[in-house]
Amino acid sequence: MNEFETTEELTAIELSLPANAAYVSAVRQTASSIASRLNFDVDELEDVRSLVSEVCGLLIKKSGGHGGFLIKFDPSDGKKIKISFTLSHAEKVDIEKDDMGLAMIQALADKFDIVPAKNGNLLLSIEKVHKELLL
Amino acid sequence: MEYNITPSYNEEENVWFVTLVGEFDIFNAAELKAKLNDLVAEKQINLVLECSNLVFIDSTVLGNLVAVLKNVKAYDGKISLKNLRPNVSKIFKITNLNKIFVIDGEGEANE
Repeated sequence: MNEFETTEELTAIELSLPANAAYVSAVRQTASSIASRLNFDVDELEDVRSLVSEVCGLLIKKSGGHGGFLIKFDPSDGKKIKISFTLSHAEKVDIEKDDMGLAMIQALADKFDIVPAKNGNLLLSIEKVHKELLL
Repeated sequence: MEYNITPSYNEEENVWFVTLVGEFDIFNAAELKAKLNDLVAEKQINLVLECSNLVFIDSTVLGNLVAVLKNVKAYDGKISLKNLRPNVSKIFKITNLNKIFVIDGEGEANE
């Protein structure tokens, strides 16, 4: 083990993001940085970047550019990254099934859930599993 | 996020040659669409997008490219994408848009 490695478990990272398209690239960079710690290869990292970008884009469009959302990156499993997005005041948000972004998310994610929460929030979560584990 | 859209008219081939550099997403998708539409409004000719330094696109950009393609098809034109990076090419494939754009000379739009 070299001086940069640690035996500490990776802990979750949270971002609070305004619903502003200008910040989506920052989310991609963060996601890529975290996923690279899980030794994802180049293809998997690009999938993670696309996934977070698509979900952010979806939420920004649905929010009309108002408010913001919380993003939680959870690599604590060590073998997959789970990313959840919470959009508040989302009572009237409806995600069309034929949305191209939604289709991309479903194609790239190993797991994808949309959960309307009881308190008016909308929760989207995606998972990307290290492909060695899928073989 | 750094990006660049550099158009030029290729007189020999009578096409718009547009070099895309950087990342394109929901933030600058509308700008890209507007610039491409301005070009085809000026000259109704084919569009060639040089993508060797295009490092990222999202579905918003794809949707806008489809909208531009609709305008181009109105005069029987084509949009070609050259030198796509693997991650960008993958996005076209999973959305089946590789069937309606001419990508690196392979495949033709379904009529």
